[in-house]
Amino acid sequence: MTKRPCKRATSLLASRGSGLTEAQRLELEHHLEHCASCAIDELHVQRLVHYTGAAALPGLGERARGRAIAGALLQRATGAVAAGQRPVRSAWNRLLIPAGVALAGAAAVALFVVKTGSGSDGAAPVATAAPAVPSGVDIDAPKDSEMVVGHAELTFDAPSTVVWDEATSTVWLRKGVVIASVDPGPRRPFRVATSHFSVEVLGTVFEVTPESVYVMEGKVRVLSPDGEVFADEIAAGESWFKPMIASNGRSRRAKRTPSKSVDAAALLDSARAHLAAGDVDDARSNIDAALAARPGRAVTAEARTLLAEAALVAGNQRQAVRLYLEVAEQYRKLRAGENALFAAARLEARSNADGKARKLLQKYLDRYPDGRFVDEATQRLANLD
Amino acid sequence: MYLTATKPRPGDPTPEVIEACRRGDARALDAVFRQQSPALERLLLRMVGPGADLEDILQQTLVAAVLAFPKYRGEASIRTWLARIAVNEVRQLMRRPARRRRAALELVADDCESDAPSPDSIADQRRSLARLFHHLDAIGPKKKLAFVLTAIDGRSIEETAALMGASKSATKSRVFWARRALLSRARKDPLLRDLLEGGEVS
Repeated sequence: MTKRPCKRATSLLASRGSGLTEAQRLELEHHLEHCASCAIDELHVQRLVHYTGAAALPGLGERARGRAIAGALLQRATGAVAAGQRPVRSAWNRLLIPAGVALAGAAAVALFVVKTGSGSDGAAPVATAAPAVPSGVDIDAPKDSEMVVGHAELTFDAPSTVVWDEATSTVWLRKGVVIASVDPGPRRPFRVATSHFSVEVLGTVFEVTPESVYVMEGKVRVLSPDGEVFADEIAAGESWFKPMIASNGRSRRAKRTPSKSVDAAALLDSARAHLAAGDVDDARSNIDAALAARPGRAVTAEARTLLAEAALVAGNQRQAVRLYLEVAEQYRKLRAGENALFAAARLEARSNADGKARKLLQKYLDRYPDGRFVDEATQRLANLD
Repeated sequence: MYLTATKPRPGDPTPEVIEACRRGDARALDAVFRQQSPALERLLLRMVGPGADLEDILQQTLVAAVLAFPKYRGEASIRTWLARIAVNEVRQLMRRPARRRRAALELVADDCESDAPSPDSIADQRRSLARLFHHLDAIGPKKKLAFVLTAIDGRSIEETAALMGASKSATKSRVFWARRALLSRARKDPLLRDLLEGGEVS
């Protein structure tokens, strides 16, 4: 039970922001001088407050801030948001903003704009007049580059090779991942084709890999190379995977329920929250459920990294190292793989397994000479030597 | 509780710009948002903590501001008015059970600066912050926001009350209970115990 004067002091401390009278201030100071319990409470609150203020909370860069502003204005301009309606997630701004620009009629002619997105955070996107995309020629597009063809804007989510066929408004995706944002204005079909299927749309936003389609806005139709309809309608939020050859030789449709890919990400978010709260069992249940949804490679790598984190939070360092190393080996080209290798090395160093740590750090430096943790790894290696 | 008029700060938008914003002029809105968004972002960050989808929340706040601008009467400064919208947005966000939190346990890239904290310490710091905000979440949205706005963001009880649309006494009471609940939870948390004792965060 809190003593009455202590309750009064806490109340005064809570009201301090509104400015205490001199009498109240003296009363509070007097109480804190004589009540160790309240003094410690106040000290602890101040430490927590100071910590939140002192810790570098990761903010947005100029570019992300600009995207949020542009996204808000665009949603208003295109009438996407009416009073009381929730706005569209800004994670899609990169897609919606070009779509809005296209809606405004900016992409009437085929233009070719390649702008690498790996520049500095403050760099504003540069819209330069560009030559027309040559038709029928292989075009290599780096990751994060953008290209405007016909009435669509393409963003490449991985190093890709495409061929633009102006006559049929078709982009042939030879390799990589492309996100297409198609202007519905011209009412002309636009296609993205791979060797296994083609996606036909009027106006929408969707992502295509050689094996799959994920629709972000609107609807698309998926056809076989022969024109057979694989999926008549894939709606926003839904994924479609290319038909796989089953053991009996017949093709097996692999239209995946839309919620699965979405759920996997949500489940991992939930797992992170559980881990942050120290609830390892709940976190593991979420991770297992996410993996059971058979998400893509990147999400799987992320999920398996979280399993390692869970082992770490549970205090099982050996298991954490083992799981990190599995991720490092199986996803070495993904960022998760790089993170995992360095995390494993760090854990070995922490547990004074110098030999193992040295080996892993060296492996990291050999594998990722321009990696994100090169300096840290070099320094740790020098310390171990 | 009304937001009171405040003296315009240097660089605050002119009445003409505000009027253009009310009409929905995209240029004017863009200029005002660009000027105000860093402060707005800091406020949002303190309310939602690390790991939240800050860009998304900032955009939602700006969309709400665009929609509300025709009703802006200029009684409060634009900064305070936007802060109130941000508080409302965060409250709505907190009502949603499945709000997305990210990056709490991510590894952190080294910025390659010799005097920068090591990735280890940044990751530990983020973990502790995530824990701290987890406890803040657990004490309830109203108490959390009252505490964050007064204790962390340094606003007065009156201003916090105005931003939250609550009375002064309700706000004081929220801060009171938030302090107690947060302390009680933080003391039981092994990650935060060291911090409370004045040591390094483990």
